[in-house]
Amino acid sequence: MKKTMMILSILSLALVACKKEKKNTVTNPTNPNEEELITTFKIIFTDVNGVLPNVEAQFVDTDGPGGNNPSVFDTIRLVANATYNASITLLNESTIPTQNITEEVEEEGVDHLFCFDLTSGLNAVITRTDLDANNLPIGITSQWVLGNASTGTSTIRLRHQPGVKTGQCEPGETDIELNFHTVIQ
Amino acid sequence: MKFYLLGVFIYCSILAYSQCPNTYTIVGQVRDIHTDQVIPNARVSIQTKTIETDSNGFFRFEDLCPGRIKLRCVPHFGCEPMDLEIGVPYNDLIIFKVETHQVELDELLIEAYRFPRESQESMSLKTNDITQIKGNTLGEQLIRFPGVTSLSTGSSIVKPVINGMHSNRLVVVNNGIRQEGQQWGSEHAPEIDPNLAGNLTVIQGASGLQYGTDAIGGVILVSPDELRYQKNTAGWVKLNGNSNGRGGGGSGLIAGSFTKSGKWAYRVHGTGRINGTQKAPNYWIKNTASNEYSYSAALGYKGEKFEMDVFYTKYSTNLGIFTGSHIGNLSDLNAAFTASTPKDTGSFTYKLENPKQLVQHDLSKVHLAYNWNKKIKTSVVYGYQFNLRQEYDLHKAYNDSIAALNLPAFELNLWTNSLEVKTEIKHSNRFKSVFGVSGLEQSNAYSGRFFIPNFKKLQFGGYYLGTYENEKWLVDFGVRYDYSKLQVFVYDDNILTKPIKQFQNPSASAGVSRLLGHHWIVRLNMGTAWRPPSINELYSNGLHHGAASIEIGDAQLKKEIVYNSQLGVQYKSHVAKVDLSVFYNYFDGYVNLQPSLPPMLTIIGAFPVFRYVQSNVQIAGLNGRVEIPIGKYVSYQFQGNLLFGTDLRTSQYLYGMPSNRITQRLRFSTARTGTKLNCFVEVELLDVFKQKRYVANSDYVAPPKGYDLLSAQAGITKKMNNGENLQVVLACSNLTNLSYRDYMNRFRYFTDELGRNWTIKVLIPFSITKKEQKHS
Repeated sequence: MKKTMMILSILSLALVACKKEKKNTVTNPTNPNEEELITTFKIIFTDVNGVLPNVEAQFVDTDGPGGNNPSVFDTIRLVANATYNASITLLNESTIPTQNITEEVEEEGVDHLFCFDLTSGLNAVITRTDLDANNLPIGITSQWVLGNASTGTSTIRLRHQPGVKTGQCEPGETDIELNFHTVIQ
Repeated sequence: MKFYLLGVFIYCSILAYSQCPNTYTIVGQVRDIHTDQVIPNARVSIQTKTIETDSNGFFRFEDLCPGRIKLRCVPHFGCEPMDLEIGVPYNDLIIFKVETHQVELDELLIEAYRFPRESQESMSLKTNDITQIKGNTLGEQLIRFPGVTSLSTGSSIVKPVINGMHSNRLVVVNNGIRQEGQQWGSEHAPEIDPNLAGNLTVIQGASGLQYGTDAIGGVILVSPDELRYQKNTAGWVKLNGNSNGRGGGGSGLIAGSFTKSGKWAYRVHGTGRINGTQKAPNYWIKNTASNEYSYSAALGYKGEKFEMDVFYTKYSTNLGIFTGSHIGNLSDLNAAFTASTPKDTGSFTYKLENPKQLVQHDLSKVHLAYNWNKKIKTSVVYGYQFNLRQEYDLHKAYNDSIAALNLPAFELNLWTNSLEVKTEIKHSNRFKSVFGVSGLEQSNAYSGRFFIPNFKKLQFGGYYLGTYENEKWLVDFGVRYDYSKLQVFVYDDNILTKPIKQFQNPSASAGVSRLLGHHWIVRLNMGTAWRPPSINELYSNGLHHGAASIEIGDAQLKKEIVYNSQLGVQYKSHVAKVDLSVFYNYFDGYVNLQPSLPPMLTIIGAFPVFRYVQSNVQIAGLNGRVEIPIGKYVSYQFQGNLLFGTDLRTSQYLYGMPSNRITQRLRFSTARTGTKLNCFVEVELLDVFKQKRYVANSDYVAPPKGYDLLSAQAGITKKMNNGENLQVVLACSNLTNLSYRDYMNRFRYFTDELGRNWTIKVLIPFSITKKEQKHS
């Protein structure tokens, strides 16, 4: 009996000693660049008549939230009384090669919705021009019909609405929220 | 001189052994004069000898000659010596009825507020007394102690708070091993199943020094009962069910000794629990299901000189995090604050969705001890711990193939090896010393989203503790020195850097207690303790999901040092039991997370920024408890905690202090009648005041208003043959189904606390007595 006990206790001791985990990951961590960080938001406006030059506005924060401040945050400058087709591109520029997140948002279109809110006085009407599998808009592409010269803020939000998307901005959580200073001139 | 002494000794021996033809044995028992409870470890002396009573309060003197003999009983520090003269032979049981100054909460819970053998506050309770214990977590169970409150994240993550201090400022000791989990986050509860613990003890002061740095607020000891050497097999089964969350759980423990000699003993325990979505009075709190399991095994050997035991325990829990708490940005947060009902409330389920946490903790221990002689004992404790934490975000990956893997947003692995060697010396019955050294080696690795960097930590310390006691005084004191080295592996602009941080500092504590008359004890305790800044305070940098804030550490933080003092007074008589203490803590370099302007702009919108900053801080408070018996069956209890925290540098209130609270209990119990079958009914009213001591605009929203919470419980206990109680308890918390929010719950921004919850608990003790084996 005593011997079995001894063997048992030695066994458990051995168990304790063997449970060491691999530690090489401790001293050499991988660089914490997130796979799916959105570092860059780009919106490109194209004149429906093909007359006016294209307009591009960007937000770039290559190290993601926290750390360094965003390096680029453009003003959207559009021509009064024109009509533009707008197209949004989302990139992760923290990795090499750069990842395009737009395609993934498009694939998961049934869970995502871009919302465009303008401060009062900004003369523009925005309509989403794309549809997801359930025939609800996504907003990666949209049409901006502009009125007279005015200044204000366009808030562009990407709402994540898994299973609850109805075409409205609520409910859901915010993946992107950017307040672009907007000048219609 | 030596020869002369030797001569006297021989002469005395002859006197004792040969002067009378017939010698006699006397047997007696020491009991409390008021409660009639037996008193173990009381000292009983005759002229030639002093012995201690056994666990049932019995003592025995053999080889006595006939004649008058003077017995003196010294039950504990904290009681007057008592003399009794008897004639030998004396055939009856000698009963000493003594005044012990054991301050009991009530008769069922003798140990609950044992008059401390240490001079400072030391509080302990038995987890197997389900007539007193509430809740399933360590944090909830400790609330009965004066000065202990809790900090929650939702309803399933509860952390203890002692005198306003928690997380990095408390040490939890699990069966003799300092628990090394991911303690720095407020949403990280201690990874311990309290069912294993026979006793929960909170200590503050000198005896806490042996557990190392960080014991700024105190030490929580989670200690299983001693292995059952030379005892029969015994154990218990605990079952419980609750209405809110439709949850249930079971726990069982069996312990005994193997061989005839009883030198080998074992203990095995297991617990399992499941809970579904919980409900606030007006809605389901979405995704609050949880489940957990834990088990442990211990094996020990106890010989005359050599002792050893090995212990292994695993704890695992899956926790759903309230969906409404993971919000995108400041706009979402503001929308959540203003909503009276969370926008997404869901329905009942046992299934966990994202966001959720998986936490596992493995702890192994080997303990060896050697008794050199009756006065000196050396012990070695080696511990190995592995802590795994996986946190899943609400948001799954955009990329379908990544999303399909359902990986946690981040994972932390923490490995700890620790070794402690200590020697205890009994210089005399009154004076004891402990010398010890300890070392700890720790590594942390993460994967996924950056939260805290990888690190390696080394810590060494040495200490001395001394205790002196006599009938009136008890003095304890200790010193300790620690050295801590932290090497961090962190990327700075895509280049791996390996900065090293070193900290060292002494700690010291001294306390003194004085007995005044029969009813009063006064104690004073003073000391200093410290802690090195923790990894999150030094290096966190980024968005804290679920808190909607950007938290920025400061790699230049210094050590945090506290100077504390505590003055307490206890009174016990038939009229009342009173326990009152005031404390004052001064911190040099208190690390606090403070809001910092301006908000930071990110692609997800603007976020408030919080930085870890150091300041000089004072925290003072008053903890009091009064119990007044009303007749034989009823008792009234009043408990209050007051706390004042001030940042001395800015002369402003300290953020995150629990608000003042009062608990009143009215208890009807038949336990004092001494029958085997007893019942009790208890009504409790908890008044929590609004925290008015906060800096305006330092928080997203002002602290919630105060609330009065009514709860009640009733139960039956039956004393079994083995002395343990069979217990059945029916309890109801939040009896009035009140909608309220608590300042110490991080989810106060998003959801109400739990509504009414009925709980039924049963504890069945058992013991297996082997049939007498005849050896003839």
